[in-house]
Amino acid sequence: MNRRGFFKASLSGTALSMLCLSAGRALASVQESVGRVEVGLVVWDGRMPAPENFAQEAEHLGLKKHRIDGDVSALWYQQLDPMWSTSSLVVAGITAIRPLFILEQMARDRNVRLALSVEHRPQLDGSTEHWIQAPASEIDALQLILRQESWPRLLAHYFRSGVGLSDRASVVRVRCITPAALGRSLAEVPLTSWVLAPV
Amino acid sequence: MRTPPGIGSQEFAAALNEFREAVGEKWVFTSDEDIKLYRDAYSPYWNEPEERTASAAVAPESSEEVQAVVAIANRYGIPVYSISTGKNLGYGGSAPTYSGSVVLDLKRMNRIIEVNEKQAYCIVEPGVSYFDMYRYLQENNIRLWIDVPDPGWGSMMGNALDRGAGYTAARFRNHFDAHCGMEVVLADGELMRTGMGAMPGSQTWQMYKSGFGPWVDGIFSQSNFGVVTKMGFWLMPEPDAFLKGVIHLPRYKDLIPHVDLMTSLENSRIFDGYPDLNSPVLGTPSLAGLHDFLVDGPERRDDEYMQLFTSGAPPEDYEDYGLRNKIPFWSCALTFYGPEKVIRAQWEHVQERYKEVLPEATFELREFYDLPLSEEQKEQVQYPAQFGIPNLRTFAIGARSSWNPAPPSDGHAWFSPIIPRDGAEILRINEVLGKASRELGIPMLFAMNVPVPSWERCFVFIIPFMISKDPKQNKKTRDAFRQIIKIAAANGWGEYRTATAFQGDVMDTYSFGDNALIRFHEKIKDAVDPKGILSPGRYNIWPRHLREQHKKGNS
Repeated sequence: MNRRGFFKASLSGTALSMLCLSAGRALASVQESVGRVEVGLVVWDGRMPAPENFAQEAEHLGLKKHRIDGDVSALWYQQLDPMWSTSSLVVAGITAIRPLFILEQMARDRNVRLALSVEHRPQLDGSTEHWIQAPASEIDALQLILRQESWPRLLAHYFRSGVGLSDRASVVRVRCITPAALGRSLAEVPLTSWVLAPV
Repeated sequence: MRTPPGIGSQEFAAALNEFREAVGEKWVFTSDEDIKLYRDAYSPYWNEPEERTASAAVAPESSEEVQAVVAIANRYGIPVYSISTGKNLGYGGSAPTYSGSVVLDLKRMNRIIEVNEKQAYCIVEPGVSYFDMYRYLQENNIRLWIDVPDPGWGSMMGNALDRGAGYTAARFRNHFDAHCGMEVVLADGELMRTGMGAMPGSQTWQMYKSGFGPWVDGIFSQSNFGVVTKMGFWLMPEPDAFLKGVIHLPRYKDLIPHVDLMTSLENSRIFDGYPDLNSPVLGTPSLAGLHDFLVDGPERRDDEYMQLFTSGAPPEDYEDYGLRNKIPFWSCALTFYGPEKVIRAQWEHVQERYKEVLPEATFELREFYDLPLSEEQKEQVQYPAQFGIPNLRTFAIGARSSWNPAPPSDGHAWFSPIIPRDGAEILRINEVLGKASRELGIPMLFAMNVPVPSWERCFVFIIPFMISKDPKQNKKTRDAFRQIIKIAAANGWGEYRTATAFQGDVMDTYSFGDNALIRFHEKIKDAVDPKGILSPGRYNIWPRHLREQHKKGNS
């Protein structure tokens, strides 16, 4: 059994507990180690609690980060445009949907494209529906993360360990749910997690 | 592989090969993944058969490569749709007007050819964005300002050619008027320069606009008679200081004398910055305050106000509430640029004039800065565009925020009629459009819309019509938009610009003399682009062979 097969077989058992106990180690166990690209900057939308949780964990993990309040002007001018003019920086984030739309449009001018996205949609029963659009190699890890209550924090770990973008041509769309254990969705409004990477 | 209408796949493949030879293999895009980037994200026909989409895209790097591509397209009869950076969302984006066209993407042509600080001008290529130019000026410590639109992400040239507007001093706010000289690739691949640029060795291409003989620059804006590959612009010398003073007026009818006085003061150059009008008591934000409004939501009001609001009371009914609660009915921020002594005197003069005409007016000095701004001040200013600083705040329109978690839209189409500089006309257009929007079932974003005084001598209304991804809702919006165009025209108000889907509808309202202007456009098109390859249908200028099928109602 390869590593992914192992992961699938143990999804409801040890892997989950491991994830809760030690997010970093569990994630490492389901992520392919080869072909992962380092995330050089993470962005969060400081207006909502889920991205705030993500940012706190990102801080703890030592990731370079940038806060927005929906306006991406400073992010573009001070960080992304200079970086993408001279380097192939991969940027990830959790924001409302509109800021990503703007960043995606701007990024195209620097030959940078959306490589991975997850839409997080709060449901009336307190659960959160996630629509993952990502290279096939990333789906298992993302599903594992997004089924946990602490998915925003776990996403910080996921980005910290790099993103597998080697098969960008094989993007698939998958749905998964975070159960309503908290009584309300952590994503109070629709959000999106994303990775922008040079082509 | 999709092909342009009327072009066989073998023929198209041959043309694409020639494009590749002209610009390089990697700059010809034919994959679905690449082509979808040229969709109009705000298309009112999203995912419907009528959505306008490209068949391919070509991205040349120089005027010479544009000439080569246009010559190839002309030989094969392939329609090419030129874009600068394609970011005029709300007015069509980068999708071609004629579906199946090859997008001629000019964003690789991003050279700043020259910035002349002494003579305060620049020459740029189509791919130079406002952010690019701003960075260039900052990094080279050049004390010139650009006049930026909102948002400032697009191309200087593209915005000017679409006749966009900005927010600094009046003589720079009309971006097409602020240009001086252009270079154009014609449909046969020939390269032409306008104004003084037509003279070989001219020293004054960016110093004198009209050259000698007919001044043809205007026919290359909002049109499809050539591909503009370079443009000069006059830039604003950085002033010594900035002052923003706000006039507060308590009564509904104050608007009429206010507009008269404001216009007189602007026409007399007592102030030349952007006049920013809003109604605090009605809750309409100023343009400078729009971002905060969209992030924080409307100001909280008491039960009495909410009763007025929920009862659908007409605007004048809010006057008494405003008077008792000391909330102005109207506020108007005037901005001044220049030496401190001069602009403080100008502001004082404005206050004196208002006291004479509107004795209840009160005044507030909102902002004063010695220039240049420090980095900290750049973060503090109320509205960066008034300092020539590009920003993306406007995208908060329709964005989700803590007070408005589920806005009803994925985009918008701007309805932008020009109306006279007259307070009574502002009230009248609100009555007319308010009634029409209720009848058509398309709610307006604000209870009262205030005009945008981008240009001298007129107002423009900029009203968003929300676009969704739901075809049924979009059809309702399109129908309403078309109705509103007609209603506005019946009142003498015509749009200055519109999304590709509605350009035919708007152009049809410019029908004086049995459509003499439209027929003149068509005569020019037939003469300069007989095969009709350049951006067919842009601003409803169709080449002869497509004219009949795109007549009224089919555009």
